Amino acid sequence: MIGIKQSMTRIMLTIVAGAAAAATLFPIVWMLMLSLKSHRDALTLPPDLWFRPVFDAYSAVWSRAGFVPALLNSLIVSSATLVVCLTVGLLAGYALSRYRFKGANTILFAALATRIFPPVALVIPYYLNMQWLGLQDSKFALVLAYVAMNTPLAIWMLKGYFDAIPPDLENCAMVDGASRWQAATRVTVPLIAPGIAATSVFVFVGAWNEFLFAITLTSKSARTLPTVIAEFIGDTGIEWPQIMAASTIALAPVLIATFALQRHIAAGMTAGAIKG
Amino acid sequence: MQTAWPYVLVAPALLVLLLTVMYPIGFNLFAAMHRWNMLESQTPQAFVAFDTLHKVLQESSFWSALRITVVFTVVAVLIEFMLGIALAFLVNEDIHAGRLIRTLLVAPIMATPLVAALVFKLMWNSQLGIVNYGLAQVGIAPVAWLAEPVPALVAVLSVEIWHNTSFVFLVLLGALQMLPRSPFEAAQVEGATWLQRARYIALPMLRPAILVALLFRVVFAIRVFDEIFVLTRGGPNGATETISILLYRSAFEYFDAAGAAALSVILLVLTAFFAWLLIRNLYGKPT
Repeated sequence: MIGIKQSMTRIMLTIVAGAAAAATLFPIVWMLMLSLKSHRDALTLPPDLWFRPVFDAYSAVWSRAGFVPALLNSLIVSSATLVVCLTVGLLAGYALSRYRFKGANTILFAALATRIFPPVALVIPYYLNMQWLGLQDSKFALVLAYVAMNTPLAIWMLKGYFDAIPPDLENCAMVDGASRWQAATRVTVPLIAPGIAATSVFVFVGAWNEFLFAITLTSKSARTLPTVIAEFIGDTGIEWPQIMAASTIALAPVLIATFALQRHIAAGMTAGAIKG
Repeated sequence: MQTAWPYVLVAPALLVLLLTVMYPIGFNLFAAMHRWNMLESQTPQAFVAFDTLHKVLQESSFWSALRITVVFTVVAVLIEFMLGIALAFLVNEDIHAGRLIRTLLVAPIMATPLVAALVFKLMWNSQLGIVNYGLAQVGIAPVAWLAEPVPALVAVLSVEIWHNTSFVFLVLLGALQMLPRSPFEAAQVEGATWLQRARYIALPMLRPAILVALLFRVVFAIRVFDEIFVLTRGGPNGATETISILLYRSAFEYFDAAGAAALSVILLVLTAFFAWLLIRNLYGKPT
């Protein structure tokens, strides 16, 4: 009897959890579904659940002025942000993990505080200074802003991964004649490769997703994906399937990253406050 | 020479933080002490010391935005925690397809806020949206969700909650799975029910994780911008205008650089309190 009762409970709990998962997934599935419909069929209610998918919206978005350049801009800006943050973060993370030195804690806490300050409070200084420098509507301005937002995260995450590798491994290599640099780059860095990959994805997605600085610092040639998609709304007669197709294109890499990274997400989103 | 190494290694990070964060914060203070209309001038127009700050603090739009920010943050975070904790306990049980369900529940966690906002904007649309269609099926008249104060707040909250419940869930599930087994087994032997075990053993032990998640959720809810900007732009009639939106509008709709800078300073001071709280709780007293 107890066995039956237990398996009944298990099934009930599974149903509740499954329903929660379905509700969570609904907006994403909805977006994907609408992106695969024609403009005429897209918004009929009740929604047509069994339909022949068409890729009209995707090809329309693709040939829409400004979309492909924005996609390229997003890739370039996010990659450049990643390179800077990773370089700076690896150097600082290593130093903060391996050495005890005056001011180390101050740097760590300053970085954490920076992560907590809302980016919107920095929009005005960026906007005005970029205008003074003649850098409005440039990818450089965006990269600078995204480096500001993501460097603290990179430092904290990478410090955490360095902390997990015992320094003795490097000491052994140095006894065998390696320099400190060689010991760090040939022994420790390969060992934290998964952590470096996770940090990279976080920084990249952070830049990829950003919207506020993108709309304020760019106007035309440096537009990124989120800003261009948001502009679809402003046009007369909103083309929902196109918006959903563009949204799907923007979201797809993020979702793939989310599924690939699961074990690192908690650590990443709390800047190392929670170990993954 | 040996002791110089760490300073050389952190120098780039320091430079980046000084240039990209400290300088802008200082610039805010500078701009906030002036009168500065961006349409009229590229540079500050007159030094007024604390007059701009004083003026901002006297405007009703500021207090309304502060109130809405607080309401939004409290309601969003509260619901996210109720759902997130419940889901974490649920998935921590031995359910079928637990790994798959966990993966699906985490899906929104890093989703592009703008994309989430657009999908929800369509779902809450008064004519084309699935929500009003669903309501019609049970005989409820359509609601102009984005055009009425309280419904608009509900719509905006829904995006935030959909987006971030997964964070609370993930952090607490991780913490639950790391709890030692023995207290639970002992309690079970003593005849404690599942609810008693959750309430008196698991929850107290989860406190540190809950606190971290709570602080992170609060500071990230305070800064919310994209979702509100896309769904309502702060409307109708300021009903969803948080401090972030007010700041954006004073800068880019009223071109009041000084006023926006003053708001930035206020926002920084408010969040500095949370930063202090977080650092104190997590890492002890900073030296």
